[in-house]
Amino acid sequence: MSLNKYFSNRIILYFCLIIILAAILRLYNLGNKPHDLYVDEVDIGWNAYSILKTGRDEHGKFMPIFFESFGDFKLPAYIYLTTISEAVFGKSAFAVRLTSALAGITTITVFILLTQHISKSWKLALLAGLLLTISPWHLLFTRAGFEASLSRCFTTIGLYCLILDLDRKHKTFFWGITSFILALYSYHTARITVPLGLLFLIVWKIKELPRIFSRKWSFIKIIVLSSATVPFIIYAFSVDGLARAQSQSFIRDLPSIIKDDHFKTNIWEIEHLTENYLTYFSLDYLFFSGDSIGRHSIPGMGMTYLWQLPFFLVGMYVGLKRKQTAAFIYFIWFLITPAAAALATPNPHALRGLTGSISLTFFVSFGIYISLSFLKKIRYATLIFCLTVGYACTLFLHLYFHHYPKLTSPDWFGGYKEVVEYGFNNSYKYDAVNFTNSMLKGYAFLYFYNDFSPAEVLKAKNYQLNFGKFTFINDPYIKPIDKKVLYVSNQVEIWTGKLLKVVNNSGDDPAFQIWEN
Amino acid sequence: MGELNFCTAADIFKIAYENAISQLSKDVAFPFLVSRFFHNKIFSFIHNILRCYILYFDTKQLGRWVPLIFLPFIFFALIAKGGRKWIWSIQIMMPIFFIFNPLHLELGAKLIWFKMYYETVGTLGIVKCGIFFFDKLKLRIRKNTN
Repeated sequence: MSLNKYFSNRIILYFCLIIILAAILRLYNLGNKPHDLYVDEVDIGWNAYSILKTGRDEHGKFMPIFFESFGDFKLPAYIYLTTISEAVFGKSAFAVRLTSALAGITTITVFILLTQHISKSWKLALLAGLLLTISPWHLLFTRAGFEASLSRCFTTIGLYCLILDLDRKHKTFFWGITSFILALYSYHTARITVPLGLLFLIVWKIKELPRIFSRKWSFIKIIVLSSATVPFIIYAFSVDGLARAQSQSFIRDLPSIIKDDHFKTNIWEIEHLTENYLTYFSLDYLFFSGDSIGRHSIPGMGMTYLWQLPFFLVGMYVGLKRKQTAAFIYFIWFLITPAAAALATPNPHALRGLTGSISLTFFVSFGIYISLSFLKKIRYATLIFCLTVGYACTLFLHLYFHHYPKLTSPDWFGGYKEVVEYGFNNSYKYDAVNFTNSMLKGYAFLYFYNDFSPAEVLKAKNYQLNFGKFTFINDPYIKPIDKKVLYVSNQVEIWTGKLLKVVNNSGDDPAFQIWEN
Repeated sequence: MGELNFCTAADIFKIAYENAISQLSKDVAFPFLVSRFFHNKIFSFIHNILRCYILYFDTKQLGRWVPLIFLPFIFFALIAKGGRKWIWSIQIMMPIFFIFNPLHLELGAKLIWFKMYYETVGTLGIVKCGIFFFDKLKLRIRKNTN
């Protein structure tokens, strides 16, 4: 066997091993760990199931482009892809999260190929892929139904396809644009980051564009792709689209005393925008404390491993000093990522800044790559390094699978699944089953976790409050005397009936009480 | 960590100890040694010492307390040639002053010192920036006259 062939076989082997590891880490016990579904996932799952069975969303709209949810609108890509997984695996937590997990595995694959292409080093690319595979930030968001992981997957594919064509390797420019458009339809932050990324690529490789646009059918492709963005642009500037932007905007935090002063308001906006933007580069956020929202980070650690901090600094410093193309591209990506997230609140927001995990991982792997020769010179350094990495990974898995579900159970709507299942399974014993309205979007949990037909639910007039025996009522609820009722109350209400059960969340804190009269 | 993220040595000890104990108590399902392996004071101390140190360079803190106009100049002062070694030496030592707090500064006083320090570095950056552009201008004029 020639040396080249031996080397390429080894690359394929390592490549496959990384993808297998990524698949194991993302698919193992996906439906139950870290927790049951939270409200957005249930909403996605129920809408996808409704589309699958009736072609209509939960509000009865036929094949909508934007899905109404909580007075807000969800983007369609994740929901339509979930219909495919629900068609194969049925209506389950696994099916809802599978889209995100597969998007995560695809992102790792494309990230390796992209890094190899721009850095011309398989060693660095495989190392970067391995680090992304075990990255807490990446793993956290690809093991739950977050639309952002799909958006990031499309962004990475888009970037790879565009760079391939701009570097005259393959004619994939329009595939890249298609992928970018799909990213726009996946998650809200893409509406700012994708155009900025595209603008950067165009400015950087402007000389290549006439070559690409002079190809056969280019004009038609441009028209088709441009028309694909029209619904999105109309939505983005519509009342609903702007309502979404306004509801999340950091300007909500504007103090009322300076609201009328135009000059002070402008200064305040600039200061806060900069402050928000800078939080995404905070080492404390990245390596020590993480996001303040429970679902978005592991308590007791940052968005990534602490041991990566020196390698990140070295990788960024050396990469930019040597003016490496790969470092340049990932650095620009790192700067672009928070552009959309900084406009919203709260900050830093790990989900909105998720794409930053790719750049971060690249700089860490580059730091390790260039430190390797130095590490080899010091006695036992490699051994200490391997032990540290091993310890950190084991600690992370321990925290993720054992502590995280308990500590963040309220953020994951702990107890909701148990009460809706209990209510449904015992409904034959009662005339009515009533749930407290303090359950946020409880009807979606009820329909998703139990055997309800979307067609039947759609026929009901007020299905968000009432369907068959099941009703969502305002508390405190006065005990009826004429019928037998099962009542699911919040954890503090003291009802006059008989207490059957207290339902705890994963953290062993009471979430609901189940009563009968 | 610490009041307004101005942490001290006392915070490090307190938080490291509390973290280790609180996490240990949640690990009742595991054998004691396994639990100790994951949640020990050594790791907790290292984590908190580093965190406390890093907080004084953090972009979140800078964005919150230092006037916006100074930020690019602080960055310039740290990367541009001319006394870079001195600035970096002071920069690396600076958090130690706040962590051990030898002057027993109150929070307000700490905040003023912190702002003053970064504003001084920012001013140095402005001076460096001025020198940099003045040198460039001089070079261009010399080229034109030749």
